[in-house]
Amino acid sequence: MAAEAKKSKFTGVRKLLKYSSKYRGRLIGGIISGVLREVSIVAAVGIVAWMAAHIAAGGGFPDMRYLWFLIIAVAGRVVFSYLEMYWNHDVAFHILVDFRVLLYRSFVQICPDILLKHRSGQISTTLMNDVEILEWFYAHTIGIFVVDLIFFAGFVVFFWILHWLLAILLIAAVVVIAVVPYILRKKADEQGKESRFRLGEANSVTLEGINGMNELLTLNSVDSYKLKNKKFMDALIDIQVKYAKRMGTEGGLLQAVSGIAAVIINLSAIGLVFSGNLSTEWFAVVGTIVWLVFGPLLELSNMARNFGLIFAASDRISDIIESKPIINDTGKCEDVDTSNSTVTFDNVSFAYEGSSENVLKNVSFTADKGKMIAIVGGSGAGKTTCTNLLCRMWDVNEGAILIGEKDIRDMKLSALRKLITVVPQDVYLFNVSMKDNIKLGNPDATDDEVKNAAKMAMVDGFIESLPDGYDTIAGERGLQMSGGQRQRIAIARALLKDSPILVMDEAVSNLDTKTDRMIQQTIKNIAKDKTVIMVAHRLSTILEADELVVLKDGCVVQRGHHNELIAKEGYYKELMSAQTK
Amino acid sequence: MSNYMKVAGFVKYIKKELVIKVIIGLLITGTYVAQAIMLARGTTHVFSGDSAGMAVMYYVIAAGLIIMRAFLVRYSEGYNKYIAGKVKTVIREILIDKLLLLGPGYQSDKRSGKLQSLLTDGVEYLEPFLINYIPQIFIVGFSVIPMAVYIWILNVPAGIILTIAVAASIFLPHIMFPFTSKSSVGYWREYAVLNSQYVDTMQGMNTVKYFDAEKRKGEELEADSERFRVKQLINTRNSLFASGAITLMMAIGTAITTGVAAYACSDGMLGYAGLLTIMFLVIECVRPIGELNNSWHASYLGLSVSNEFVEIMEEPVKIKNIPDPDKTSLDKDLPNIDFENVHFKYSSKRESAADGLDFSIASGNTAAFVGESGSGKSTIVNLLLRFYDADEGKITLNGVDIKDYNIEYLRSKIAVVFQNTYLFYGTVMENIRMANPGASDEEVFKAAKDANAHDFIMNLEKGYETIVGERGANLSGGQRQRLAIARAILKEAPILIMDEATSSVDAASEELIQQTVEGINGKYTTILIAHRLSTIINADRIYVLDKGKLAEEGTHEELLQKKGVYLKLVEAQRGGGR
Repeated sequence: MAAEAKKSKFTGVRKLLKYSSKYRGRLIGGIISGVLREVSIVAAVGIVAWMAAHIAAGGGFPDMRYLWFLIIAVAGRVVFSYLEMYWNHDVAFHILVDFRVLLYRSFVQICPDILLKHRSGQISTTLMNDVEILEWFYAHTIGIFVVDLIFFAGFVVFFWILHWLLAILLIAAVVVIAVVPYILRKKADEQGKESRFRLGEANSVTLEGINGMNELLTLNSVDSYKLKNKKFMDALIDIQVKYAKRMGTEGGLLQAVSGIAAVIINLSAIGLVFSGNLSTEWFAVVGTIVWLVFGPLLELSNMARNFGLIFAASDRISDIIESKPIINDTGKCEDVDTSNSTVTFDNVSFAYEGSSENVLKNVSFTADKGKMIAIVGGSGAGKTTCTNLLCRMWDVNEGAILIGEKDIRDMKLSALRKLITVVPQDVYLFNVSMKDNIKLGNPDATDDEVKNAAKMAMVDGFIESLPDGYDTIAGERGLQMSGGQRQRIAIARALLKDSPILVMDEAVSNLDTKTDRMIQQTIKNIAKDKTVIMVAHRLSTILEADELVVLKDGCVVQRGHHNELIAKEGYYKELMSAQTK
Repeated sequence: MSNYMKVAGFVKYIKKELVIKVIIGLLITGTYVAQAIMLARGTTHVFSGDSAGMAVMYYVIAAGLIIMRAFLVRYSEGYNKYIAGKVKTVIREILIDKLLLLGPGYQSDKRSGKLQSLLTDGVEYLEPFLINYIPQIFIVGFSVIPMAVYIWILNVPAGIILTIAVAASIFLPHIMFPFTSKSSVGYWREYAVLNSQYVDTMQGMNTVKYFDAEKRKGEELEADSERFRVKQLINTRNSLFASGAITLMMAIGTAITTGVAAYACSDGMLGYAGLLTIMFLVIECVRPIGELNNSWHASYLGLSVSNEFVEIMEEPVKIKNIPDPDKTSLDKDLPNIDFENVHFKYSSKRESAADGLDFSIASGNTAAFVGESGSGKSTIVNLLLRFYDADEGKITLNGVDIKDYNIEYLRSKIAVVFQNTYLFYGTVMENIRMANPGASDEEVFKAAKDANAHDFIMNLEKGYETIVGERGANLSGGQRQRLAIARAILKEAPILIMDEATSSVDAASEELIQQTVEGINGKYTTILIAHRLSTIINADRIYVLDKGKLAEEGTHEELLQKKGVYLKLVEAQRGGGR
């Protein structure tokens, strides 16, 4: 178990290092600067100590050369620490950009599949934070780790030259220092986890004050809410204090061990001085710089504490980057015949990955150009799956979907998507202006074209009534758009893209008003030279359709016009009578 | 700067604790100083070679001091977190208190994401400033000044140079603050922007794909990331420059002070015991200053949000109790509700949400309001609950202006089911009981049964003890609404408002809710707000709103007869009157 964890940690480091190889030059530059920085610090302290000891020994004020060395050492410390940090960060920031780009590309290929497996908003937020955590690894860990190792090795050699005993003692001290965090690690991880969990809980309880304000005020439960908030805060503080106490124990222990080690080395050096094995000048040097050797080591053991966090983040990122795309864009055909937009489902079967049950079973139907087809059925019948397969969010397992005469898998993905426009059930508006939201599928559209599309979707009046009109940012709160308004913007977006195939996934709960009647009319008008496929719930939509495809448990059970189907005994009749009771 | 002082004012809640913290900090510094002096003494004996025993003794005392410090460090870490937790709790409470006083009106003007992050992350950001920086000022004052004075006494030139270096390294960060904080705060803002850009695109990925915009959005994001990288690097360079300058000051301070002392020693103006003392002591002088600068740097983020804190703290509360408000007039029968020529706009830029509303709802009656979105239906609820106050006209309950009631009393008499019910983190039982903390289990069950919620609750994994809310079980829209209705019933308030309570529920729930509404007829003075007309047919009176005005009113039958706006709404909903 432990060996396994170690192994994964090692491969984790290797994986992360792989991404930095492009920037090897700057990375090495950073490491060399780091070593020189450490050398300058030690040199400055050592020179001062040596001078003081020299004077104390009655040697008088030493040669001016030493003063120059001192000035060089002080300047070197400043210059090299600047260079080290600059290069380390430069490398780290470049790698972060690389990661962001990679993540986006991979995310595109595994979406929407991944959203079925994870909570939607969470994953993207985590990923962004995860990338930022890697800065810690690239800018503050790898370089410094190497620097500290070199620095420490240099120290051992230097001490060895002065006297072997000093070097042995130094190594012994380091072993002890390395062991302390290791012993406390498990407790640290547990407390870290719990502390983050309780922070999350306390945050969400505090935010209830904002999100549930209407209820708090009308239920007169402000006081009990405050008590609850206090309770969760207390629980959080409790674990944080425990965490800090453990940190304090660790910190105190490390300080004590390194301090005692330094004293012991000093005492041994005193022994060496009195036995004539070490000059007082070198004693002064050893006695002062020994206090510096442990600083970087403590820093290293601090860093080791963050490894858990870093590798967890890098694992999550690798999961995305290394996952297999859900579809392969291997189609060659780029020039698709836009005039023949007949959609054919030919014996299509499909199951989501990891599920043995087919969501669609041998589904076949044809939607001709100029016709409106409605897919009808209870929830879970596979209606939305049909539309998802048509735009190749997933690929069919069996059978084929054809547009015109061509299998959609033979088309280039971008060519296919040019043919189809979707108004999805869950409309997503980006945090950009209304205008840019509408222009999503047609970025070159003029303002007039945008306005025209909005008019056709009956949303122009609403947008004009907003404070900044078409330049109003859609994500702003206080805008409080209704589902219907959002849907109409999505329709405007679709109309502006003006592709030969229009897919509309009707939302269940949106407004049934005269506006929506008029939109229906608009769609009916434009449908004359398009293929329209709708996932329909409302009777009013169903009535407009030229043909219904009735789905039940993934199978097509009935087809025909509403009037025809409602007259027959059958599933459709059952379905409709349940809805219009 | 004044906003920082205002934020610094939060320390008044942890005054005593901070004093203790300063004392611990001084004790820690004290062990360092004592250790330095011991080492200086010990070294002196080594140099003079007079007594190995004395040298060893001083080093052993130093070891004792190190162990003592280890204990102090251990204790202070825990204590720091305790104070931090205490002050953060207080700040959260103060903010929430204020936001609750300001009411939903203030919130809807703000981006809620911003308020949320202010309440959580923003409060966290203040920790370094309040808990580390402010006490560290005192620690520096009480430790560095005596040490500097001591060095002056030992050797005046060394003292002068040390004082200059110390002063420079204390004030340099403040002189550079406008320059460094600007780029670091700017950097954090940029980060937030890039982050939300990414989250936005990833959340809307399906839409991006539908519109074949993957590549375009990808390029946009790449350009954004690249731009951010450059900003990030510039910011890093700036702060490296700044910290380089300070490091230089401190390095010069220690090295040159010792150099000067060495020179004085070789001239015989300073004994070498004094020289060694200075050599070890200057390092201790710089240590607390280094910590001060670190905590100042860590405070940047907190200082960057200080404006937003101050803005909330100083926002005037508009909706207030009058002196000696009415707390009894709603205790009698079911109240009657009167709107008299009520005018209201959410902001001067927006259209009227209420444009001369005039109506009365008799005691025990049910009034329904219909109209398109934006016609002002929910405004009636907002005004009645005093989330906002009307600009003109007045609203009375039982003949008393609602502004003359005690606000808590007024709200305690109104039960509301909102369009989007918020469930709190906790059990189903707790969520319902919120409305009436004294209610027995049986009363809660009864309310749930009346709201047609009991059956589905019993089917939940742990029944009434199931955890719901943000991190709890997923309930459907209809189930949430039925819980909200149970809550409203349990409240036993004489006025009941259903604000589009069925707009996001499935057909089955809608029917159950409909049954409930019919069952409670006459037990309350009821206001129904709906866009689904099926729920309001039985109301005593239906008001049709259009752009903040009453367009029509009457019973369902009367309104159908009028063949006006109402009839059109009805027809539209029946699928076009075919």
